[in-house]
Amino acid sequence: MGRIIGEVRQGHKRDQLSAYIDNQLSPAEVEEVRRHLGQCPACAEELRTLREAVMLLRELPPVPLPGSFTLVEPARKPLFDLRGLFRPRWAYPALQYATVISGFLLVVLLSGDLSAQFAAPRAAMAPSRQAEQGFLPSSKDVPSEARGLAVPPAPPPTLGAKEAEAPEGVPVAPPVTTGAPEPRSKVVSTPPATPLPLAAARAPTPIPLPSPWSAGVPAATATPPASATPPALARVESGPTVAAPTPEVRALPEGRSALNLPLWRGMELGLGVVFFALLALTFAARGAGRKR
Amino acid sequence: MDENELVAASQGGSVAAFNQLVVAYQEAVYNVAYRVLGDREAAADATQEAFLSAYQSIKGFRGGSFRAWLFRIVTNACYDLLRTRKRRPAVSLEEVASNPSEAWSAPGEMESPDDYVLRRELNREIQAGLGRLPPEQRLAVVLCDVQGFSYQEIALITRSSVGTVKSRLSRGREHLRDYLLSHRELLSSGKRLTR
Repeated sequence: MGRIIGEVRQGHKRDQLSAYIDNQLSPAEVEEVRRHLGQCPACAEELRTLREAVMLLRELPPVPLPGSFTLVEPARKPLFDLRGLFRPRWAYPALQYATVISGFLLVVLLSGDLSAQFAAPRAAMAPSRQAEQGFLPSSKDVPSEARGLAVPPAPPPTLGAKEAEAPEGVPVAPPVTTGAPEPRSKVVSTPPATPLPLAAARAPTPIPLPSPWSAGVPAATATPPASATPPALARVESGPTVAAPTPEVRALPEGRSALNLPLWRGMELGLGVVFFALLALTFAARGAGRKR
Repeated sequence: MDENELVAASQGGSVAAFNQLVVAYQEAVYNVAYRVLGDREAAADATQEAFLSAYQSIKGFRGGSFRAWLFRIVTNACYDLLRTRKRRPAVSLEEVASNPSEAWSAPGEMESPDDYVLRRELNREIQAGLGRLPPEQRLAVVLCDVQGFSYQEIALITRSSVGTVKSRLSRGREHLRDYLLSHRELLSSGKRLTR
């Protein structure tokens, strides 16, 4: 402050030198400063060093840019943002539980399917092989009704002639030997007429079918009740007039119903897809949680 | 498209038009931020923040000098960073002022190694001298002498009068000159700024 007062008393123009350099003074002020500079070496020196400092500043090279500062256009928000699914804290445990449950269901489903595939042929193979080899159980082992239900190995060439005798002969023979689809289906599809009860009786340890299949295959799972045979026989004896059973019963030897098979495979496939989708989502949620 | 058309397109929401303005001004904006803040990273942050803020508020631009409007935003961004640094001085202002980060270009083809070293030393001293000025004086000196703004534009940018700009500029230059004179042994062979 004292310096400024002293400079003003001495008539120094230091405060105006900066504006004088930039031609920001009025003509009268410029004239006054010029007159003073001619008389005051201190102010002239001040002006010279000030000009040099300004020159140094103006000569400063531009600092190179670290990169472009252009803005990035915001991306459109997706219709379904999966990241929103992972935000809640319960998302990851919930996905874990869902994955475990679906995996367990898938295992149950697949194990049931596999055991049915192994069990059903074993149960059905025995009588069919015996039938192919011409082996029929003796009367000691099997009741007469069961014997009558056995399918003969091959149709003889004179089948057409025997057709007429069918009602009095072996009940199974006429429909099978005709070769026509309709009567054969009728006979084969007659539930008690199948050799399964026989096979069940002969097999030392009958393998029970798993629960999923048991519902669809009621006659093949266990030894049928004694009352089941007479109605079957009666139906066979009554010949073609007997109402034809549903075709799905034909699949009895394979251990599953024909209509249930695509449904079962579809369930396995769907559950498999759900399981792997849940597994992927769980890992994604885990990764998102780590990032946070 | 000229600047006014680009500004109008940006006001309509065109990022591409605004990016053309960014390309035109980013070097000047970054250099002002660097000279005021004395730190490359902080300058980059302030520049980015300033452009983003400018894009968000460009609809409120009512005409006049776009450059002055943009540099007012840059100035505010720099002041915000300076205030933050003052509250949480992870690196003290004194340290930044005395040891500014290296931001100089490589030596030119006609420049000798000695000249290059001397230029680097001089630039470092100038930046250190700028860092010792009060922010208002520093900003006035940078806008006027480094970027070549007129007194009127600086008054618009800093929302002050031309008289205030004159005063800040005069004091800032004097302080800087005094600082450089006190370090004249570092200057080019004592040829400049000698009394």
